[in-house]
Amino acid sequence: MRKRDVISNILKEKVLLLDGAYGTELIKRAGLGDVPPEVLNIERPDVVESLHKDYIKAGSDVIITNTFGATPAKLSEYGLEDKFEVIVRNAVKVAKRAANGKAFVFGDAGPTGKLPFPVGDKPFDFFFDNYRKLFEIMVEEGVDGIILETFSDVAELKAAILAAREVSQDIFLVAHLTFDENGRTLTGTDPLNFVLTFEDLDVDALGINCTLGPEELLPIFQELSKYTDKFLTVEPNAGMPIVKGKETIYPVGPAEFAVHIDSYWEAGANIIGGCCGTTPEHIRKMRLQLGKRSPVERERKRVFALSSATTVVNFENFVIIGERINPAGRKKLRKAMEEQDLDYIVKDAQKQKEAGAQVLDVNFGIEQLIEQDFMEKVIYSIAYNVGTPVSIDVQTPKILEKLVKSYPGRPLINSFRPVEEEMEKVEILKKYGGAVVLLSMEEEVPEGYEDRVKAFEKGLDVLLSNGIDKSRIIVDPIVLAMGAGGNPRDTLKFIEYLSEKGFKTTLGLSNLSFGLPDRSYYNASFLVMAVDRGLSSAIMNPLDEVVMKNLKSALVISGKEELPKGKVQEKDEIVETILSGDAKKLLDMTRSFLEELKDPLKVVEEHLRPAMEKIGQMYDKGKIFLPQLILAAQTAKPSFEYLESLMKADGASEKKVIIATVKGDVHDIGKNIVAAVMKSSGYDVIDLGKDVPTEVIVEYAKKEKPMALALSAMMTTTAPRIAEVVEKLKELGIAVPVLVGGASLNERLARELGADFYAKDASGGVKVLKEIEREVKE
Amino acid sequence: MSEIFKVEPEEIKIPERVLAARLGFKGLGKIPDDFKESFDRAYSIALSVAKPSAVYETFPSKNMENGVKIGEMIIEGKLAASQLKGSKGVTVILATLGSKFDEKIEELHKSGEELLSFFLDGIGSEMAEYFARMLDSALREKFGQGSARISPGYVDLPLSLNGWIIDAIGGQRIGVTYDPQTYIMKPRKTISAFIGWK
Repeated sequence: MRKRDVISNILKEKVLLLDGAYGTELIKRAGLGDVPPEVLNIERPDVVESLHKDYIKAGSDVIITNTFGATPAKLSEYGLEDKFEVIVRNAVKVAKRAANGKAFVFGDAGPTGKLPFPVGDKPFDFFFDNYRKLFEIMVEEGVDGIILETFSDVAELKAAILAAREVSQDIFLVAHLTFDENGRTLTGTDPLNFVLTFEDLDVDALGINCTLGPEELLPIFQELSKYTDKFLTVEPNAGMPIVKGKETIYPVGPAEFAVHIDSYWEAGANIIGGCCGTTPEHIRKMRLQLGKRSPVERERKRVFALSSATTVVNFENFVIIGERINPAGRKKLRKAMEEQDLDYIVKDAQKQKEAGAQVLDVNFGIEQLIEQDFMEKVIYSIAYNVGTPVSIDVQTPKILEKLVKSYPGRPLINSFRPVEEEMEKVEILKKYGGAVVLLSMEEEVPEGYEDRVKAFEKGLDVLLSNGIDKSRIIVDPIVLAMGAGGNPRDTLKFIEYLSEKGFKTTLGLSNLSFGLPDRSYYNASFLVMAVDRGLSSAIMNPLDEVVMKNLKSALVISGKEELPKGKVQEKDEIVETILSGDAKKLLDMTRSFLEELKDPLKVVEEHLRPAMEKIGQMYDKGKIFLPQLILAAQTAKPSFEYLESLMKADGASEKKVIIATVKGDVHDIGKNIVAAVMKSSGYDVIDLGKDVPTEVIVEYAKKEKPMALALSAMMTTTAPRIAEVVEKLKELGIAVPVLVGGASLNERLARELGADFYAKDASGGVKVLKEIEREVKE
Repeated sequence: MSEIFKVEPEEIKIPERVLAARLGFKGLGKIPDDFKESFDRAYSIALSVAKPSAVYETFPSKNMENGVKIGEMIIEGKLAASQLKGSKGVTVILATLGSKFDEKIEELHKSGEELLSFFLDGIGSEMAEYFARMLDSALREKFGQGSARISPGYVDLPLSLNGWIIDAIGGQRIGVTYDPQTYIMKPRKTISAFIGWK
């Protein structure tokens, strides 16, 4: 059995403990001066071995070699390049001797300290070659795994992963990035992008280490764990370092560090260790806390997205792929490519981005005429400097391989057809990741709808059977030139078919109008119709204003985008007063509205309710936090109560709502929030409290004749009480819409329990009440 | 015979990040300045009403065909099998902040202080968790390596175990009771859990 399979099998059963810091500990133990800790592998192997043994004694299941800075590039900074081989060989030998079969040994590799072009000046192959040399020695010496730690750039990490896999398919491979407190790496990658870039690669575990302490690192780790199926590893620092004179202090002690183990376990960690500042005592405490536990089960959230090093473009919204980096019909661009005028191309890319393109298609025309290294520079400059992900529109397999292999992020490979000569592209996808445009055509252009379906199904089968899942496939329904007899209605019909099946789609829009006059109008009209049928993106000219304006309005009309900012965003004094929490000021405002309108109901309908509606929308869109919504409700309450007291004299309220937490359930904080927000939205809420017997709820419903009955149940054991209330209401012939919510419920369960409506939060609850009001009026 | 574990509420250290996330400030990592005053008020109320106390007892344990036997109780299901199987003993824990905490949340709600009531509720949930972690950590110092701490209501561990736990280790010693139909515990800020020792 391969080493990686042995370790993977163990990880399915239990969480493993890694060791702690080497750099900070070796400095303490050996007083290094100006030489790097790796020198100790040859000069004081006893010190390194003793630290390994201390970690194993403290409970580490896995130890790492003292080779963090042992790439040839890094060692050459100290003039140690000629010692490279012996440093690495000794490191593995010492670790294996210390482990003596009691712990796994992972070869450690950190970044080279150089950055790729254009952030730095190194090409991809520089990194690849450095790591390949390092890993060849480690694998020869018999490491069980390789761990890539503290990387801050995706391109360098990708080079290291691919180098490791070129050297060995046998070892367990772990890839880490290091993030700052804002959840970004040095070159701007976030956790989702980390997964998008590496999930498709042959790496066993993804993880995070260094920079942050266990508390600060946790939310970033939680974010990472949402998106990946791979094993997860984590090594926080012993807190954020504090520099005191010449000394660097890591403030989180062993006991405090170990308290966080439960949180990491809950977030799905499979291997946990410590980075800078952690000691054998930290590991001992972690061992105690971790004990012997199996990992939690995780469910991956799948996202269809592309990325550059800095930007993720999610295809949940319509995506504009700029088509202009294509020398066909653009003499100046062709010249720029042939003469390697990078500035010209980058400016062109930037223009498209500014016009609204989120992804840029890059086509080099006659590929043999362009230097391949220059192509890599173009792609890198767009991915790092312009920041948009790239659609690599390259047809020569060898060139495509070079560009996809080195791409810093998740690229789009444009494109693949299910024909023999394109099968190399499938291998590239399998080996280097990325998403692909699947053309719905084979050798010949499709003649009609049926041809497209047939080619699509064949292509899909090829991709799926090669392990390329649906979240990596975007289908091109093929739009042909109308002037050459193409029928765009076939394409529209096929877009509808693909959307119903849940596929993402894109097409080369300009093909439609090739050779026609008024091209922009044809393109715009077709695009509007395609958007209506569910098209998810288009490869198009973002500088064409006619097309862009039509697209924007079509997206708004179809509800896929919000109305442009303008009047809607005008400053609203009532909203601001409510959000500020100044209840007295709001009451004064309410009184002055009343003086003006003379009718309390009008004040509610024209001022307070619309303001609370806006606040509800702000919450739904994530523009305000839950405490702000609660504070708003609390602030608006006295004004509503004041107006309500004036209205009560006019007779029974039509907006009466009864709310209660069902019998047996004492968790009422959610119910209280819902009640407060409903009250502040102008509803007359009768709150029966918590643990309310069915008979009492039903009795109130009978007596008060509310417009709705809202019930809350938090626990699975109390949810059935909802069905009991519904049954009883039916039995007594009390017709009242029942709205339910609570942690244990969802839409489906709510229906099964007999409820008419489900709301996941307070804002949702208010929306349901409005819906009921509308239905009553109709 | 069960044992009692008590600490002062001030001894329970909860990371600000955890509190911020619990109180709805997701992604911020801290309590925003606009809400600091309300939060500080709620936290100081929490310190004044919390009475963290726990009761725990360790039972012999063995694997059965249909689950894991703890004392006279057989616990079935995936979570128990994955975490407790192979344990020689299992410590059963009840940790609570006491009933005054619930009363104060209710009192604030009734007086219209919804925000404070909500903050206190959230602080209480995390305070109970971090109190349980303190006991957890103390037990591991005593018994050595253990399993993960698992609680009724999570994955497939039934809530009905709360009834057995409270009866078996004397929940009344720290004022914890349960509803015999729903197995919900009172006071609300109470955690029940198992840790297995291998």
